[in-house]
Amino acid sequence: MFMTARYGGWVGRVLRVDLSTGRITTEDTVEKYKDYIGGTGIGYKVLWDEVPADTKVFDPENKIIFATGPLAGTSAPCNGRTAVTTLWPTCWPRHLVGTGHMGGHFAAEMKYAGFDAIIIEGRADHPVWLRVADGKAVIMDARGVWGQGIRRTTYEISRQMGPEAVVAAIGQSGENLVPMSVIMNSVSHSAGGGAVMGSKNLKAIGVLGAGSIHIAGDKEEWEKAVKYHLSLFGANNQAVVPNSPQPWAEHYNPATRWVASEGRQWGSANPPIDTGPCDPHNLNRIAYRSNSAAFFLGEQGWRHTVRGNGCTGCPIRCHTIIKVPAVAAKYGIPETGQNKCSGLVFGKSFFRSFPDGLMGQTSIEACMVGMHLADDLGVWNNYGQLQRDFQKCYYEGIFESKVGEKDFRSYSWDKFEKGDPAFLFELLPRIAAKEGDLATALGLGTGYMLEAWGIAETDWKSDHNLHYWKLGHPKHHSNEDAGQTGVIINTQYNRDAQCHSHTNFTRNGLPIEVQKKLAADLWGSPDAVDTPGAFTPMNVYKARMAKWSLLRKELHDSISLCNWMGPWSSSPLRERGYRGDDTIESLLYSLVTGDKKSRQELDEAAERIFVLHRALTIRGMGTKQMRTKHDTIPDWVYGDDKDRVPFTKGTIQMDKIDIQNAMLMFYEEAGWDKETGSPTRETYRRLGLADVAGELGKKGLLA
Amino acid sequence: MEAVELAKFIRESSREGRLLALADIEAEIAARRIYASDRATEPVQIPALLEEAVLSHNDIKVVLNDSGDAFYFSEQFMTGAYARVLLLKGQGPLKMMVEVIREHSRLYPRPVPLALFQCAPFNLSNDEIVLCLKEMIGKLPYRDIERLTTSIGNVFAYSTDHLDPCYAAMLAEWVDVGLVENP
Repeated sequence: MFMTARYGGWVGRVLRVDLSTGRITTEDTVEKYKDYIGGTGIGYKVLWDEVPADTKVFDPENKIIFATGPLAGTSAPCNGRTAVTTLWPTCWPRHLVGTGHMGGHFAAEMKYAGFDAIIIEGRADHPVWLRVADGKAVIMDARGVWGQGIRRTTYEISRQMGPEAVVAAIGQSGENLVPMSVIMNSVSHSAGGGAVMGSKNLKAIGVLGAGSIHIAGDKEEWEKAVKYHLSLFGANNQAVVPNSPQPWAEHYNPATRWVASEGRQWGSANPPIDTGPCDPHNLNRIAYRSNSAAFFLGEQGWRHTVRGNGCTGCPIRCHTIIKVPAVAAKYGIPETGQNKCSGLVFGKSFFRSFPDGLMGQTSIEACMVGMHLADDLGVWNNYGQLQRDFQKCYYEGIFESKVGEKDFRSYSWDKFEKGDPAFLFELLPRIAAKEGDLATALGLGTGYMLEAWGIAETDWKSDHNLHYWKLGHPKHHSNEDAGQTGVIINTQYNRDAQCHSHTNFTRNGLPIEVQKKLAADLWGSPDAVDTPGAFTPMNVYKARMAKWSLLRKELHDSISLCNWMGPWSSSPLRERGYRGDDTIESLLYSLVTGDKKSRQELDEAAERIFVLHRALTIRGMGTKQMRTKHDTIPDWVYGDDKDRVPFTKGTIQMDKIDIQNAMLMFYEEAGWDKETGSPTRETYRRLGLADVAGELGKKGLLA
Repeated sequence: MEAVELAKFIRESSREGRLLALADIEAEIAARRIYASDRATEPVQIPALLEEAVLSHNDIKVVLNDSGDAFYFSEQFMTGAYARVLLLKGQGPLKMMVEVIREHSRLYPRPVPLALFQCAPFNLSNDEIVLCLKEMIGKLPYRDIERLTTSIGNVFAYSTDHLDPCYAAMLAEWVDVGLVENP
């Protein structure tokens, strides 16, 4: 009998598929992975136990793990997350552990199909796809869809499995082992790592099931907890303040993503739908609060909005569906598209200008063309680094000097300079096909592109406009959002940090004095947070906030909650003094699994997962000198275009000595050796990772 | 009219997004005397009635404008902050813009994108905003109000009493460009 039978939340089995041998096995989730919760926890554990440190990213010995947590597929809000963990193809100069995080409906359906996680290993000798339905897995021939885009692949597999199936697929980009490739489910929800699937000749995974998730706790308590959780919700990215005055609101802030208001309409719905005032006590109006198109594209975004779309169990609906009829005739593409953030502006971001301005019709057409191509070919944008690299390389003459003349002249640069979206039809398919020097280099990812062209990484690290951080990837909410706290967070991963725990607080829209009150409760002092651009010197409370943020990210990525929304450290509720509740994760976890854990106990599990990621990085790099070799900070952090000095109002520039101090304070908070930035044996032991310490010790990698 | 009915009337107005001035209440009571059976409330009793409404109904609140005139609203349907916006709106677009700009500069702190004043409940046209800005230029009472333009051409305003120009420029650029470029 599976140990999982004692618990709710987990469905109890992990599927393991060896594509080299065709062997399909299962293992007990709880027995093997309970201490790692799920998601990234399972992914890191598999990589640590099973993938040797010298494995190359496209070796059959590399593994790719699709994993969910106990909340996926339940009615807990924002549970639609699947963590995809593998050696990361764009991590430069060596492929270290990385994770991507898909929203959509794959996580829930995989569990309804009977599995908490799927471990893919080996390499098939011909293109295959994996059919997972009602507890059974079959390796299917994919030669009929190989060479096709994500959209057609999804439709074809859905046609075979049924309309309820959810398909995670790669496009031509992943097939061609382009490192800058995605895996995409539900047509618009992606994670990176597509080339690893391609290297295994795995085109797609289709999941379908009629199963359900057992809630171990009292059902009424569960319903109450879900309602309570929803009551703490803001808009997208947990903005708890509307961006214009509303009758119910004490504050408003033009910067937030809470854009609903009476008179603001989803203009392409038929008839148009008024978003209304959206009083936070009305939980049935949460979906109207956010509109990614309006936030990123302004007034035209409202005009073209059909409705919001999103992931399982999430009321936020941040993937806004927009309808732009003109693109059908002009470019021969569908007139609707959906996405958010850098996915929504994927096409637009290549261009510096458009004939009718940055917010005109052409710019939204560029968004449509970009979404259509990228989401079908499966090209990744590395959080906008692809587009920033492209602009720099073109306007600074790097393309012209580094690629052959014939290749360079094969592009219609006049179209590009004029802001003609049709240019994207020349560029993106070539990236996916590795066609020509220019496109092939862009598809490598920044680090490998620079290496291929003999450009020093320091050139990128000194240019603030590029947002480049290290290891081939950009920053993701750093000092611009949260001063030293943001800097610390951005040193910790092997790709962009993807952590929103800190920024979902600093961008919540509340006045600084209210934020400081909440910060005192959460991290021990109001001094944990500053107003952006008015940063104060480092203190221990900022180090605590950084550690808390990182642990909450790992907790969300393992439990299956969305870190693009959580943690719920503030709320829109005036009667609570805008307090959120940082015990909500432990409340939901305890109720769904029946494994009662306090906030502190669950944070310790998250710390175990985070430290295992650190250990994987240490082993992968072959050095314990994390402080100097890994946790590096680009030069642009210490610069200011107007020569303002750190800690004066109006600059986000950091001070070198202060940041060194910040890292030391963080290591101390984390229980890591301050000299090396590596966890100590005692920290590994405290977290139940003594065996990990033992292995590192044998290799001389223990601090 | 009883205090309970007066509270109900204030709530209905708040639900519709309106503050009630003393004159509005007197007019309502007068209308009820004419069109209904309520002939008991004489004008002289109205202040006492209002006081009773405020004291006996927790949600009924009063805000005062610069002249000390009272305006009534129900917190069931609008916050004090929203009521103050409506109060400023009643004092004309220039006063409203200046006070909102000062409050944002002091409280959050941040400069205000002028496009905000086109949103409800401000509802100013672009021409009205431009006219107000012109009226501020060179006038002593508005000497602290400054404007700046972001790199994508949008205009923000702020009070130099609370924000220095360099800081205001950085914050405006962050809101207008930075948030979208750092999603």
